[in-house]
Amino acid sequence: MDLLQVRDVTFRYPTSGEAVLNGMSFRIKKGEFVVLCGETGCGKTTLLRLIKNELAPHGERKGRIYFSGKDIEESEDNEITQNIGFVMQRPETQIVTDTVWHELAFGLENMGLSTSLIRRRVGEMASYFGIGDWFDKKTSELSGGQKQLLNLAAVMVMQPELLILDEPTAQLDPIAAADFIATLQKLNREFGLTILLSEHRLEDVFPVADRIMVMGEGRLLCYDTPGNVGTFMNQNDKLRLSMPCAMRVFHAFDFTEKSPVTVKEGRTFIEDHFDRKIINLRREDRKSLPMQTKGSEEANKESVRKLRSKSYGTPALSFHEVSFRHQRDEDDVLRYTSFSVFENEIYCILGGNASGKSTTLRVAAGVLHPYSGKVNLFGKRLSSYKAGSLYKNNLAMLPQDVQTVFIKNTVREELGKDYKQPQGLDFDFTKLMDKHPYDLSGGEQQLCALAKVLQQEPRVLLLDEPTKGIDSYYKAKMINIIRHLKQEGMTILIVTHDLEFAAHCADRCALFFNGEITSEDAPWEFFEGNNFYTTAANRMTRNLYEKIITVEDAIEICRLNQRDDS
Amino acid sequence: MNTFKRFHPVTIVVYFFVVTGFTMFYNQPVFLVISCIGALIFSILLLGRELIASIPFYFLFFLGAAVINPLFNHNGTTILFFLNGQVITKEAVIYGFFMAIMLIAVLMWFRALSILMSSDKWLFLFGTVTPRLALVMSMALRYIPLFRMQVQKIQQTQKAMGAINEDSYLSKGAGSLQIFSVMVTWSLENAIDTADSMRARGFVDHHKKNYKRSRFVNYKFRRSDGLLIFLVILLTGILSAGILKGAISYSYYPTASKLLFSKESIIPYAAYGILVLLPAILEIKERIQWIYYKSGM
Repeated sequence: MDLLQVRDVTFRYPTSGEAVLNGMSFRIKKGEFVVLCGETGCGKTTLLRLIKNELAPHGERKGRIYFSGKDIEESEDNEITQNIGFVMQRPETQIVTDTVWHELAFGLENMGLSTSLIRRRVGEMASYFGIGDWFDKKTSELSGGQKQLLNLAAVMVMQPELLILDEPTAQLDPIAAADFIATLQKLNREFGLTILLSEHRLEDVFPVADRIMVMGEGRLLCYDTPGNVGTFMNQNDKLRLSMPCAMRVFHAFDFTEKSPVTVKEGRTFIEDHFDRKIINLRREDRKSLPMQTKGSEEANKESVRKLRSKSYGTPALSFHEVSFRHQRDEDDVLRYTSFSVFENEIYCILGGNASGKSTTLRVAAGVLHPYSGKVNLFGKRLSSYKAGSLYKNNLAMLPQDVQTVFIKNTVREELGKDYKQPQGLDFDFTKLMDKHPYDLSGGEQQLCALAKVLQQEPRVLLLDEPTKGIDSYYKAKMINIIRHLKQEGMTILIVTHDLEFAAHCADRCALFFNGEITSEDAPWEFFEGNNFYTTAANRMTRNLYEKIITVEDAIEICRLNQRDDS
Repeated sequence: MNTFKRFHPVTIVVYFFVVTGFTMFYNQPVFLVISCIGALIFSILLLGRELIASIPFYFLFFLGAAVINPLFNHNGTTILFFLNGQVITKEAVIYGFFMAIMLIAVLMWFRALSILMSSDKWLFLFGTVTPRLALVMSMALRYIPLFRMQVQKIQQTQKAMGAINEDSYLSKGAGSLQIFSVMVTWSLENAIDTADSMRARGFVDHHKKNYKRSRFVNYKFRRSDGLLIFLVILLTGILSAGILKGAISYSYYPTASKLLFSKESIIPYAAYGILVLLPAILEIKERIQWIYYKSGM
């Protein structure tokens, strides 16, 4: 039975001439898990909001949307409100009240239920979501992942039949995001809840989805099972990058069978179709070449050896037994942290949530001050720089929340009147110049903030989660920009959760755990040495081939091992 | 100190209303001393070691309050001495001393109240009077820490961008203004999201017909609440009777009267003592019970 039916919907915002949605038609069956994907700005949010009638944007709309056979515009408000749940992107702003228990009860209060019934439903939901431990907490004390889980629980408590989620994991770290997706899968499997989810990180959601909906320029381009949409997505340069690792490897070759989706299926696929004649990739064959120094295997080994003996160039930024804590009576966030970032190097610090990565970066930027230990910038104590000289031509930081970079009303004001695109960098803001920075998409905001930070002309650039909330297209752009900056001689320290991103652009990766750097190495050595904390491509090729960390490398090694008969 | 925290907000407020009411408006010396002792014991149970840190503050406050009265108040008949031509009377000294005790006692009671009554308990009380205001306040309480955090983040970012130079006050001032202006935009932006989230969960304007919002109450009024309130009313009755009978009446001016300890005066003193020590008695009773249970196991 169709739970949702969208029939020929066209939508146009009052201010712009072009239609955002152009003749969208589709059906969603009861109990289906549908993932909606497409480039940023293709009308995903508009579509989702039109389905949730209360949030429908103003504009000219044609076509009809039916929920359980009833036109959503004609039915009684309350009925649809309860039956369609909606979760948005940003965890913080969706929370209405100050305590967790009140937040859970909020929707039920609006429904006018009695205290005893609310108590029962809230208790039930809190138990199911494991919220019991923080039921009495203030909402401001929760972590991002907890906040988003609370938003989900606060919607689920109203017992909706259809759950719509608009990029709910974009602001979460990968572990919290995977947990969130797992919770959705559980709701779908155990209760037959119908889910419509828009996402751009597809690695985790493809395996759990029943059908994938691909949108482009306001049209429905493709609507099929995860295994089948690959053929279509592979033709589009932007969409191809966002496909799960196994599908990308599959579609790099011409096989006629069904595409693998999960890492497990990907492994079986490689085992079945490729030899293991060559298990190691030569340096010059690596598509992602972090060191950018093509050379012989010998030279290569030499550079790795140097790198390990820590005599690789002169340190641009170094920490010597740095300790930091926020309050006198709190625990140390950094505990005798020591590491060096060498000149013209890209150094990636990876690590779990709240491990102190961001704090490290802010200490390096001189925004937070350690209570013991030394931070040196080009051999000189960081604290001995005057603020004026430190942040001009020396050091610049791109923070995690890039909105904090913007304090003016338009992009033009932010970047300066006669802003010129730096050579070799793919910053094209001409179309965005007169917009308010807050109105840009996640990826555009990130690039714009980076462009502004680069105006300080730093020698050392600090980046805090530069890929947070941006799609794979902008991620690829970001990687190119960072590589280019390195070529121009910049030293870059990156703090990130994004393993794929680190695998693509780092010269060295380090794992931050429990207040200190516990291991550091070249990316392929680093990820090969980790069993769990590693990229999907590495997990898929582990024990089959050696030191494969990116999808590009995986495709390359498969190509080298192609069987003659295929 | 969990026993008293577990009571219903109404019970807690009624108790504090009565106790601080007597302390503030019935300034009989013995009553003040009893109240102060009760507040002290309560604070020790509630704060433990934390209280030690605030002792110097209380002491200075006490000293200040006690000294100021005789310097500015020259009522009373018994002259002690002259200071810069001002008369210092014995009555003013006594009055100042007891007023200082009163202030300290009230301060400690209110501190205890603020610990016991978290913001959501106050909201609950407000909500019984005006539910809509309570919701707005709850949203405000949610919003304030969010706002503060964002300001801090922007300050750090802007500092690292060299936009705010902390070496110069002028730049710092201009920067603060700019941050304020962007925070207005940020707040509006957030408010839109929050409003969407509210509408998505069925919040509609209350002017709409046939719409009734209910209110979830996370507190239960238990038998123990009833008992405690009954006890408080009973003790208040005994006290008031004692006060009206005049057995314990006292005046500071024009001459400080002598304190009477008679059979009639013992009853109100004892009643007030019990009233003031109620939280401590409950707490100690529970601790003893707990030891007893444990040993019984």
